[in-house]
Amino acid sequence: MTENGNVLIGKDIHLNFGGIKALDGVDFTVERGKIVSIIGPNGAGKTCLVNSITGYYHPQRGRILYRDKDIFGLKPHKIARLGISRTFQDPTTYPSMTALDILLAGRYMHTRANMLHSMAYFGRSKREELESRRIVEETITFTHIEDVRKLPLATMSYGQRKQVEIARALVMEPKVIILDEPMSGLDDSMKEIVTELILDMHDRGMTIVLIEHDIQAVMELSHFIVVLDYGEKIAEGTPNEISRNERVTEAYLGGWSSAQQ
Amino acid sequence: MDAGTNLLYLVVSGIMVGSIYSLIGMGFVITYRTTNVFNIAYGQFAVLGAFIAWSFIGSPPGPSASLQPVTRLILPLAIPLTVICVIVFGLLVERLLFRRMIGKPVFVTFMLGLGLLVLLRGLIMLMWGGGGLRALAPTIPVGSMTIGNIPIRKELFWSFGLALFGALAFLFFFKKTRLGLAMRAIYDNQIAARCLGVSARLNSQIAWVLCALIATAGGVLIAVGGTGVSMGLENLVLVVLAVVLIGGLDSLLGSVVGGLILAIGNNLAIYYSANYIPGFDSIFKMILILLILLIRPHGLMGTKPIERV
Repeated sequence: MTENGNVLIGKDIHLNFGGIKALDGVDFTVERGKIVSIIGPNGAGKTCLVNSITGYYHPQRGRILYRDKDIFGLKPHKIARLGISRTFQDPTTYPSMTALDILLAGRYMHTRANMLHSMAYFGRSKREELESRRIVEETITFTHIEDVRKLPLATMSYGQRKQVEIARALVMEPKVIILDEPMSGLDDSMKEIVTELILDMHDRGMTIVLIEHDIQAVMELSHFIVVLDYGEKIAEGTPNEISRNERVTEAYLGGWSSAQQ
Repeated sequence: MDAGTNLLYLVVSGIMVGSIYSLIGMGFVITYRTTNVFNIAYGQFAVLGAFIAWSFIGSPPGPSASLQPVTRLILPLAIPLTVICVIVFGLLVERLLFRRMIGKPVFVTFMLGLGLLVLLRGLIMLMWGGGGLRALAPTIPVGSMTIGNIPIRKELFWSFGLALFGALAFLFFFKKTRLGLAMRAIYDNQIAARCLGVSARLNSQIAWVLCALIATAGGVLIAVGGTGVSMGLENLVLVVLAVVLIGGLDSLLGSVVGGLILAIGNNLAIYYSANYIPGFDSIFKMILILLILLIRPHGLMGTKPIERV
């Protein structure tokens, strides 16, 4: 842990696709145990930033520190094992698997990947198995997906898939969870459920990075907000500061509220 | 034998041959599912594996055994050595070719497989001289036995037992172990599954080693069953294609069903058509595949892609 309690720090991240600057020198800090949101209009580079943190994209320049360890350029599965898990914007990740199987697969890195051991079910393996089952069951209750546990993902509604995707990230017992637009495409009651879930995660001491378009939810939930536009950070601060920031209102909130009218 | 016993015999031996087909089909399905590679070189995997096995095990002693490998060993040594060589082969193929194919479209991997097919063929001919038939010394008990009053070849019965064991082991692995579940997740979404903490490399290695081992097991079982070891074993790929097209390209259980349908159907078709349509057996497989593809394009148990419009 760094001295000021920042669990995740990004410094001067540059990500180009050919001539397009997807991220142009972005800095950010995520304080431990806080809910930090990244907002910005479509194409601002939010998902690019998430993909850069989680190892899916490899930025040309920059540094990313996680608990003082440089994770810049590590592969996605290595980063997942360090305790950063993420959800995907499109929740149709594993269409043929049931919710239960997806969650059990999510426990993969918490068990030794030894086939013989897990087949034999002895000793430590047995304990790991029981522990995993317990966490999976707990998470199923926690994320309200009891009704769909035995259904293949492809047969679920969009909202249910979103919940399963969050549950999958949770069973990995992450220290930092990155939620990529968990509320997009959901109706109000589902948004309510996801909001409750995020608050519950916060109560459990998790650090949460939230990418979200629903400004109202972001303002309610976040402790700190980072605003991106055209791959650059144009502002950061508490929800109060952000809502009073002129540049943000112009680039994003203004556009957003006029789009609503 | 009366008509009833006869039918029973055809079905029972069909089940046993079918179990070998099922096992071989599973090897194909596992690679397809976990690495998205349509391994058209699968037949060559079986030939190579069988030749490697022959190189350690040798032909049965006797007048027919004109060809003998230089390194003939006793079975307890020969079998582990074969397994080790085949594992090394699987890892090599993975490292040199298919690791680069992670996340690539299936058509690209198909073309690479085609290249590998030609390469392996050449390699096998270069090392073993392609021509000639090498009988394989029995690695499992051979002879005849009876179940009830049905005569069955012992080697077929043992192959059945091995195939059954293999099939159950794979089903257990993919349904119950977390590594298996993780590999299924990779099949569903190669990109997203990386965030589960599963190494794409480990997945690819396991898939290719399993593929090589199962192809070898299939090649050896069929060789012991009487065909001997020769380039002709590469026709196994035709059986495999039939099995997986009938059962469904991405379903392990489909392989079991496909293998059984193919072998039992084949037995019955040959027997009952012999007097009316000579040579029907040679086209039976194709007719069966065509029919299944017409009725169920994704195979009997394959996943039908569900899309939202």
